[in-house]
Amino acid sequence: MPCPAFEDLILEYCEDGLAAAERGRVEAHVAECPACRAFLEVQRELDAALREAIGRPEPSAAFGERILRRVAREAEPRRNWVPLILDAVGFSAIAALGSVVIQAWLSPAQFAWLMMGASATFLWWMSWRSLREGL
Amino acid sequence: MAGVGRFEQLVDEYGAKVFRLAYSLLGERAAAEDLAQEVFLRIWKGLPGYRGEASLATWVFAIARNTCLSHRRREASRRAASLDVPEVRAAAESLHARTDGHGAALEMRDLLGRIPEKYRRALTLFYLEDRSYEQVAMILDLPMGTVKTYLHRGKKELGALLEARQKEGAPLCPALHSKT
Repeated sequence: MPCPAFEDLILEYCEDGLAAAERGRVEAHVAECPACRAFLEVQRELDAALREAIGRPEPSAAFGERILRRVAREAEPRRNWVPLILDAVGFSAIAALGSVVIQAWLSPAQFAWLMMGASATFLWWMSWRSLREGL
Repeated sequence: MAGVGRFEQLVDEYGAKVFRLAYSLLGERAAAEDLAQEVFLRIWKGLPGYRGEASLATWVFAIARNTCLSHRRREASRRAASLDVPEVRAAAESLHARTDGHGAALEMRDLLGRIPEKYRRALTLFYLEDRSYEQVAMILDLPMGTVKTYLHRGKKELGALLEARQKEGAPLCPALHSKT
């Protein structure tokens, strides 16, 4: 068993945590005290064993870059589909109502052509808007 | 992206330290990097609200500690749930039996797992942070005297465990055992 007054000092000595004066005091005491000398030796080996067991791992080279990429992804504005869906529903409702009214004045062939044209216009407009808003 | 330069500086300055704090908790590099990423995501989100009341380092490590503690709580409940399944428990015990006792470093890690967590955390960070009391005190937000106390108590407990193993006839580090 080490001397109680020196136990913590020896531990700190092994951790390079003492000032020069205290280091000298520990060294002088250890030179004369076999129990504290044995304790110091055990602590040195424990220190080495802990160093080996814990190591000092560094993050991978791409660590910082991955953080920045992830943050950039999170910082992108969220895509909002709601206005587009509402527009599509409104457009379809108007088209349905219009077709009911218009088909009374047109022949079936003319009505079919009109519907195809309206559908193509609708698809073109939705695609253009999706591209513009990055959806 | 406003503040991106400032954020990049934070990643440069604290990235490795936050990684090591996560590593001290998880003991596995890939998982520690994922957790450290999570910490930096929170730092990024909180950066506009940082008013400088605490030092930047204190603020960063407070977020890191909180994120790590939340992670640990989540993991603890997940593990408790999964170990309730008998097959999972058997697999975990088998893994432990296969790895236990191979190499002094592995056994030292095993012993570290048996001392109180506050001592283990202080000891692990002390060695991860190149044996600096100041760094450990800053990361754990503890006074330096408390860090030293935890380190010394942790080492004394390790010494007692080593001695107990010696008595059981299961040597860990022969050099250490011959002297304890």
